Amino acid sequence: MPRFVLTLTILILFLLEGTVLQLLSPTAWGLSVVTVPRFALVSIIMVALFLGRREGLLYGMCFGFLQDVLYGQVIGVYTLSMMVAGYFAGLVLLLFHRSLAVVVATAAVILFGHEWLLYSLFRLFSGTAVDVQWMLTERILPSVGLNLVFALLIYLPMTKMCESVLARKDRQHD
Amino acid sequence: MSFFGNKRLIILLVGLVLLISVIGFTSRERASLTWPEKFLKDTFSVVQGFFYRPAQAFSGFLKEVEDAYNVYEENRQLKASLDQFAEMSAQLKLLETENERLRSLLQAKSQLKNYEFRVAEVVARNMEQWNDVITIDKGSKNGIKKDMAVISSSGLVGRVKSVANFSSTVELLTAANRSNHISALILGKPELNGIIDEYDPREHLLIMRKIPLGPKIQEKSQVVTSGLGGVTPKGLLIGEVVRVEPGDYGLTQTAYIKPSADFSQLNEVLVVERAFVTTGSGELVPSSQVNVSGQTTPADAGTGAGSTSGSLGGGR
Repeated sequence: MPRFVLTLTILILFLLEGTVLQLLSPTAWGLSVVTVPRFALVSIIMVALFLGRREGLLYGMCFGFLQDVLYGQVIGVYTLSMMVAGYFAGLVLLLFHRSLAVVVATAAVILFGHEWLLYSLFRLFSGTAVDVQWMLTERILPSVGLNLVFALLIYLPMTKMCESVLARKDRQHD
Repeated sequence: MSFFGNKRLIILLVGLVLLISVIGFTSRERASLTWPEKFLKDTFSVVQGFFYRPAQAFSGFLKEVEDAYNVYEENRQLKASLDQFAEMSAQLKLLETENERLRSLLQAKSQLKNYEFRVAEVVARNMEQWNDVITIDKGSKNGIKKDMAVISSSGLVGRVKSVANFSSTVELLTAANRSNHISALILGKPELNGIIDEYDPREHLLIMRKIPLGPKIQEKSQVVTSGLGGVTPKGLLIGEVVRVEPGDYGLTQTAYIKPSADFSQLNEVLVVERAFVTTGSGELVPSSQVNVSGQTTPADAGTGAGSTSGSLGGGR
């Protein structure tokens, strides 16, 4: 049951990305910056930080695949990038103990790395050149900022959900 | 032996090979989607609709409240333009009848302008530059086909990229790696053809290339689709020229076009079906003979070529 709630939460966040949040985006208010909401990825990073890198990898793969099928035309790009993001977020646990600061710092690094990976992948395969500096200041950094704010908001609920999943796991082990 | 004993490594390698082959398989331009994709897209488009429609209604309400403050000013402007409108529409009627009379005198048959609309609602939007797409709630069961033009009330928005049964994905003009090019026409004293093949996200302008050198292009002249080739009808408004530059090798001109559609607020779009479709081999066939993936069915292709000239005359 806790696992179902967790998955459902991430799924709803994923659906919100494409629907409700589009109406709140800065472009709708006439600003030039574009923020891409990646709320599912933020929650996947937290899952990886609480439940381990393997879970991060699996959740990343599933939701990356969903993103690919629903919005992309090449299947596999987001599957790869979100999978890698989830796995590397889990790796941080080997170096640091979990705390709010570590979670936020990890989320910042991983979100930036994810956008950067996507930029390089699409830059490699699509012919059109986009200026790196413009891309950084107008797209990538605002997106990372928005998603970090969301990470702070979701930190407590996510902690609770992941802990209940862990508790359930422990009980089954005993 | 120890290599095969390492199960994790094997799984990783097999997974990587699978992933790369899937990327390779799907990165080509595909005629139609596979059924799992269709199923996923259809299911999610329904759920996304649940989320998007109330949100849209709410933001629409907010906009109405904002509009209510400007009613007086707007009303005055509208009244002023209404006088012009009556005059214009009378003139338009006159020209239309004259055009029809002249056409019948010339026995001109081709009607690239004939088209019909299908209204579709937007259920989701992806904001990313790479996959700048919207999902609409009409699919192949509603007669949507690949490559159809999609317009909003103010101008051309994009084209249908892939079709599922009850939903389809529309690639917007603003996408960075658009796979199709739009053949466009600059309205003016000499009408000039060109191809819109890129979008500049920094300036929010479309780039139209391969315009013949010579005639000077007036700024603010309107740009419409030319209807040459493909399934886009003639005369859909794209935008207006902002500035003109010499082309890459000095043999052509390049125009920068401000799109007239507002891409930040897309709630309802119209999918345009042209009455006659140009096939890859240059034939003009009625669009009812074209299957979902945008290709003529082999059985119809032969008869289509023969019957077109006959049915074209009665096309209107």
